[in-house]
Amino acid sequence: MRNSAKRSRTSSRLILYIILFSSLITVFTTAGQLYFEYTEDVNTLNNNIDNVKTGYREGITNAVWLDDKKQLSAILSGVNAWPDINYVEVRIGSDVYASSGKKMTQDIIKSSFLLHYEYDNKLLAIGETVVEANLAAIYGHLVNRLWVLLGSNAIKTFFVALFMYFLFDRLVFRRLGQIFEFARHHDIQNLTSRIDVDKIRGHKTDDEISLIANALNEMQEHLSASLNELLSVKTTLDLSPDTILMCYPGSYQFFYANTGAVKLLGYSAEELLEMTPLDICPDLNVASFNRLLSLESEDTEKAIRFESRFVDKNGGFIPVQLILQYLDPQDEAYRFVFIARDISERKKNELMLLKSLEDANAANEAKSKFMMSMSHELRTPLNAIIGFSQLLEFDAYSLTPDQNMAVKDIHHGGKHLLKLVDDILDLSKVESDNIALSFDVMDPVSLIHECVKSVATMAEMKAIRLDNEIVDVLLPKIKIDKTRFKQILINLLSNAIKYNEKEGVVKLSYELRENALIRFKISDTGYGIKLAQQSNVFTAFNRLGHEGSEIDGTGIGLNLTKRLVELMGGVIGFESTEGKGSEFWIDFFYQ
Amino acid sequence: MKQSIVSRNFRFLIFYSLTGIILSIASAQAATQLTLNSGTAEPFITKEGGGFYGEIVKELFSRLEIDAKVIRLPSSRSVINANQGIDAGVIARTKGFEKKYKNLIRVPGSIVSFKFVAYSLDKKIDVTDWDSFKPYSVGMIRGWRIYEKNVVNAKKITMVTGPEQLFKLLMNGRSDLILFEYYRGSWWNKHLNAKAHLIGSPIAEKEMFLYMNKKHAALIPQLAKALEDMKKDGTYQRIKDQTLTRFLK
Repeated sequence: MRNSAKRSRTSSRLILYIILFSSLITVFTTAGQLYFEYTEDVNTLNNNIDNVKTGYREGITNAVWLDDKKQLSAILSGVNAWPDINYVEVRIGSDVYASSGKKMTQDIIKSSFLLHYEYDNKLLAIGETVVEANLAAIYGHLVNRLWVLLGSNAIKTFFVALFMYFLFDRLVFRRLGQIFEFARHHDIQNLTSRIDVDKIRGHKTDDEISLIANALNEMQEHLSASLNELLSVKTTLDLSPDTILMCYPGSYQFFYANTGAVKLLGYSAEELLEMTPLDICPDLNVASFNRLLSLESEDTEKAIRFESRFVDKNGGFIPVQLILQYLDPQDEAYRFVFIARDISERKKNELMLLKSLEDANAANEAKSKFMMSMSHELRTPLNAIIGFSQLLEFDAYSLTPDQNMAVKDIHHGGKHLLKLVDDILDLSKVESDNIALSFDVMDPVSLIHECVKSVATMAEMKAIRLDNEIVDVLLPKIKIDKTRFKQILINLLSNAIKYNEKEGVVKLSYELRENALIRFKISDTGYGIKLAQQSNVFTAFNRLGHEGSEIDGTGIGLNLTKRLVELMGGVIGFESTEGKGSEFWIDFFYQ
Repeated sequence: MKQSIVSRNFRFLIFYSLTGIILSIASAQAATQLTLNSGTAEPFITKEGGGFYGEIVKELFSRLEIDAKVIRLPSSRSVINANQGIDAGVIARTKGFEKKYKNLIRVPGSIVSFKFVAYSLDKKIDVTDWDSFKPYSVGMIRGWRIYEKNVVNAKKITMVTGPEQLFKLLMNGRSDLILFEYYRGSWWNKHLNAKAHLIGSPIAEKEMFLYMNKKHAALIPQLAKALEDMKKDGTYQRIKDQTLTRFLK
C-alpha cells in the first residue's frame, strides 16, 4: 500500500513535471509561431504598402501636379481600399493636401514616399504621400491563432503525458517499487535474499534499473561477507584474554567490553556498559583522565602505554599494563580503546628482581670498599718495594749481574702491581661514586702535548712513530678535569703503543663535529680487535685474548677510561679491523 | 610720394574689383534663363512655348537683357509653380490674384484683355447681358467662375471639361450657345472648323497681367517700363497682330 502510494506520488509528480514542461514548451513554440506569423503578416502589409507606392505613385504625382484634387481623392480612396491600409494622405510641405480614411494614433505602421515630377529638365519634389496601415487586423488574427495553437498543443501535451505515464509506470515505477520493497524488508540477519526486477516484464534487460538491482544483489553479497568478517573479528576480540574496552569521548561510557574484561573485573558485560574508565581505574580522576585523552588525541598514531591498577567487582586491585589508543575511523564517531593486560605475575617477578638488584648493589659496594681499603693497604708495602728496588738499581755495580736482573724484575713487577692497584682504586672510586672531579675550561693542546711527551719513551722502546697532528693549532676550549683527561689520553696512547707492531705508527688527531663537539682520535697500526671481542672492549678485567701474552695489562684500563670520559660528559668509541689496527675516539663539548 | 602710389594702387584695386563683381552679376543674369509659365493654351501659348505670351515674354525680358521662356502648364499647376518659386512668374492672370497668392507680385500694365463672349451656330440669337441667356441652353467649361457665377437662370446649363468638348457640344446641336473667351474661342472655332458665330458684343472684359514671384521683385519696375515701351514703340501691337489678331479673320 505504502509502495503504491509512493509510486503514485512519484508518477503524479512526473506527470505534473511533464505537463509543466510541455506547457512551457507549448508556450514557447506558440510564441515562436505567433511571432513568425506576426512577422509574415507585417511583411505582407509592408508589401502592400510597397505595392501602393509602386502602383499609385505616378497617379498621385500627376494629380498633385495638375492640382486635381478630385482625381487625387479618387486615387487615395483606391489606396485606402487596400487590405489593412486605413489612412493615406498627401502632404505638400507641412500641410495635408488631401487624405483618405481614418487616421489612428496607435497600432499602426507608417510609411511615406516622396512625389517627384520632372519639369523643365529638373526633378521636383512636389509632395509626400504617407500611408498608414492598421495592425489591429493582424493582432486579431494573432489572437485567433493563439487559441488554436494553444488548444492543439494542449491536446498534444495531454496525450504525451498520458503516454509517458504509461511508459514510466511500466518501465520504471513498478520495478522501482520492487526495489523499494526489497530495501524496506532488508534484514541484516538474513542476507541471503536477492531481487529480480525483470520478473515483472518476463525477460532480462540490462537497463539502469536492472543494473541497480544487480548492484543491490552484489551489495548484499559484499555485506554478507563483511558481516561475517566483522563477526569473526568481534569473536576474536571477545575471546581475547586481554581486557578490551571501548568508550566515546564526552560521556566516557563504555560501549564495548569483551569477555576478557568480564573475566578480569568480575562485572557482567551489561554492567560494564553502564560504567566508565574512572569506575574501574582508581588511579585516574577526571582531570588526569582528560589530560591523558587529550595527550592521546594529539598524537593518534602512537598509543599511550602505562601501568595502572583496576579495581574489580570485589574491590580487589589488579595491576595492569594499559594501552590507550585513540581511533578516528572514517565516517564514524571517534573513540578510545583500552587494552589492559593483567600484570600481577610480572609485578611479583619485578619485586623479586628489585630485591636481587639491591642485594647485588650492596655486595658491589662492599666489594668496592674492600678493594679501596685493600688497595690502600697494598700501596704502602708496594711503594717500599719499588723504592728499595730502585735504590738497589742505582747501586747496580755492587750487584752481580743475576742480582741486578732480579732487582730489575722486582722493580718492574712492583710498578706493574702499583699500576694495577691504582687502576683498581680508581675503578672502585668510580663505582662507589667517590671520585672527585675538578672541572676547568682549558685549551686541550698543551695537555695533549704533555700526554704525548709522557709516552714518548715507551714508543721509542718499540720504535713506534708518534704522529701528533694536534700541534700548533688553535682548538676551542673544553671543560674537563685536567688530571683525568690526561689519564684518559695516556691510557689510550699507551694501549695504542702496547698493542702495536714494532715500528708501527700511532697517530693523534682531532675533528670538529656538529653540535659543538670536538673529537680526539688515537689510531694505531697494531693487531686490531677481533670482531667477536669488540663488544667486550670496555668490560673490566677482559684483555681481549692477550691474557697470556707478554704485553702487560690489567684489563681494567679501558673500562676505567670509559667511566672517566662519561663522568666528564663525553663519549668514547672505537673502530677496529683485525690485523690492521684500531682507532679510539673521545668526544667532548667545546665552549 | 610713396603714400600716393599706394593710394593710387588701392583705388585701382577697388575699381577693378567692383567692375569684376558687376560683370559677374551681369553675366550670371545673362547666362541664367528665366522660366515663366502659363495656364492657358493656344493661341496665347503654344506647346512649344511660342504664341502671344511666348513672344511678349521673350521681347520683354530681352529688353532687360534676360533670356526668358514660357512653359505651358495646367492652370492650377501654373499658379502653384509660380507661387512656390519653381517658376519665375505666371502669365497672365487677373488683377487681385496677388491677394490669394502671397508670393506673387503683379507687373503694372496689362498683357492682354480677355473678352468673355458667346458663340452660336444660329446668327439670329442675340445676347446683350447675363439675363439674355435665359431662353437658351448654354454650354460652358467647368471652373470658369465668371460664367458659373453670372449665368444661373439659363434654360439649360451644360458643363464640360475643355474647349473641344465645348465646341462639339455646339456642333452637335446639344446647346444653343457656348460661352468662352474671344481669342481662344476664335482659335478653336477655326481649328475645329466649327463655323460658329460670335454672338453680340463681349459680355464682360478683364485685364490680364504678368505676375512675378517675389524672388524676382527687383525686376518688376524694369519689366513695367519695358512693357510700356513696347506698347509705345508698336512692338506689342506687332506681336499681337502676328499671334492673336490673325485668328480673328
